[in-house]
Amino acid sequence: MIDSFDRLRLADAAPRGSEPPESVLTLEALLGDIDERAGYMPIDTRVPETERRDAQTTRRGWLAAAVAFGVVLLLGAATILMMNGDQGVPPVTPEVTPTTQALSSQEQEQVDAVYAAVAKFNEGDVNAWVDSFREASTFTGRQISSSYVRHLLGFRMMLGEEITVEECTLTDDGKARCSLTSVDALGLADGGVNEFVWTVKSDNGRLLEVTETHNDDWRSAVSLMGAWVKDAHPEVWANSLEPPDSCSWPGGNVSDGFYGELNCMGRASLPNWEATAESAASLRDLVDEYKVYLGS
Amino acid sequence: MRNPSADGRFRTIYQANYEPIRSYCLRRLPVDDVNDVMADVFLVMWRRINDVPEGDAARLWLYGIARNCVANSQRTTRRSRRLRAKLAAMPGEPSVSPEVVVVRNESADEALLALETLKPLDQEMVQLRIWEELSSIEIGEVVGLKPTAVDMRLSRARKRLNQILSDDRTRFWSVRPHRMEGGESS
Repeated sequence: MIDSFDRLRLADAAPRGSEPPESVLTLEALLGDIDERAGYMPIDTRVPETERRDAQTTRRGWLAAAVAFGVVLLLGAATILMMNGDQGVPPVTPEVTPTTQALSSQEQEQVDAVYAAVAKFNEGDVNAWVDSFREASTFTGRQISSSYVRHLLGFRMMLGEEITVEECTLTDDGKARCSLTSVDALGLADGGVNEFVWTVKSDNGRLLEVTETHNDDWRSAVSLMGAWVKDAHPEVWANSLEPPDSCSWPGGNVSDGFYGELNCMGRASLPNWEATAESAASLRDLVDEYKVYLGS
Repeated sequence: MRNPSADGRFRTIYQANYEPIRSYCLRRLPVDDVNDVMADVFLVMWRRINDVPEGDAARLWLYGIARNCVANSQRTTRRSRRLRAKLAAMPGEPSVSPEVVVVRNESADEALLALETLKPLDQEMVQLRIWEELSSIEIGEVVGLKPTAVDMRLSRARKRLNQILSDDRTRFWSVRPHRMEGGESS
């Protein structure tokens, strides 16, 4: 199959060295056109002061509109709640899907925190993603630091992993607990397993606890790829993936889970985020080749 | 009152960037709209000549301006573009404007249709990478993202495009034998 980017290259409507259509003005003709327009348009080399004031006024106008809209929403919500109370409508019944329950503002904040964190992950904003975690949060039962979040989960972010919030419920102590589906960025779906679930608990607007579960088939698939990288691209393995001797992660060898290696490496061996990003890029570049290897 | 030094700087930057900006516009707009949008881009540059960065960064700055001007133009002509897209999808209709000098083959057209399924920002980044041949750092400058985020989004976009085009190919081949036998495909 021809790569999509190569096909798009063929669709270039203005390839280098080609002549433009005759109707497109030449360099001098366009300059004349601009000069003519500049003669009768209020053109200056600086943005006019009045325009700056207009822009500020416009921004203030938008802000006022946004605040007004928020007030209308709050009033509307309050009115609906009061009407419900007047008509004796019972509170949300247990049959209602948890995510559609009326939440208190504090509860809503917990759910919003999860959605916001997921959005930051999917946007690739590693700093915002790290900031989403509360200090002393845990990942699959282990306490994690911000550098750990940055390296391990940032690495997977850079691989292209995407998370979707499936459902959120509230715990008895008012914290959000959400099921998230994360698609395996390495595209090992051909092996039959490409999804795993995160259960995220949030507290005071920050993520508190992440528990990841996936099945043995997936672990096996990523371990096989790890073994292939070590064999076929030892330079990538050595520079990016080889765990240091000091690794203490329980699954500290290839056969016990590829991501286990990444967990360990992320904490112990990578000096900075740029190195993490480069490592992810190195591995990502090998995925297509690995798929060819699997198909051969 | 014009400032002579600003005039000179404008001309220098204009001459160095006329062709890249022309190509940028030709790749994204009907030919009829290209002149107006190019004039808009350089008028903005004239007005904001003091904001234009020095050296090669001026081109990236201009791409950013061009991106906004193209988006404005596309908004005003969205309805006609939708109509053209529908016509292009109809059998027997020309798939590209006759003014387009490069004949796009079927494979390229499929790729363009696939590209339109991506989010606008992802479309723009893919185009900047393939057609303008910008690096991730340069693309990040134009669209306001960090290079790592650009890399990640481009990787995802490529994966999605390959998936879509792979699916299209399957469908394409399932239809093609009818045509080869001389009958009308149903």
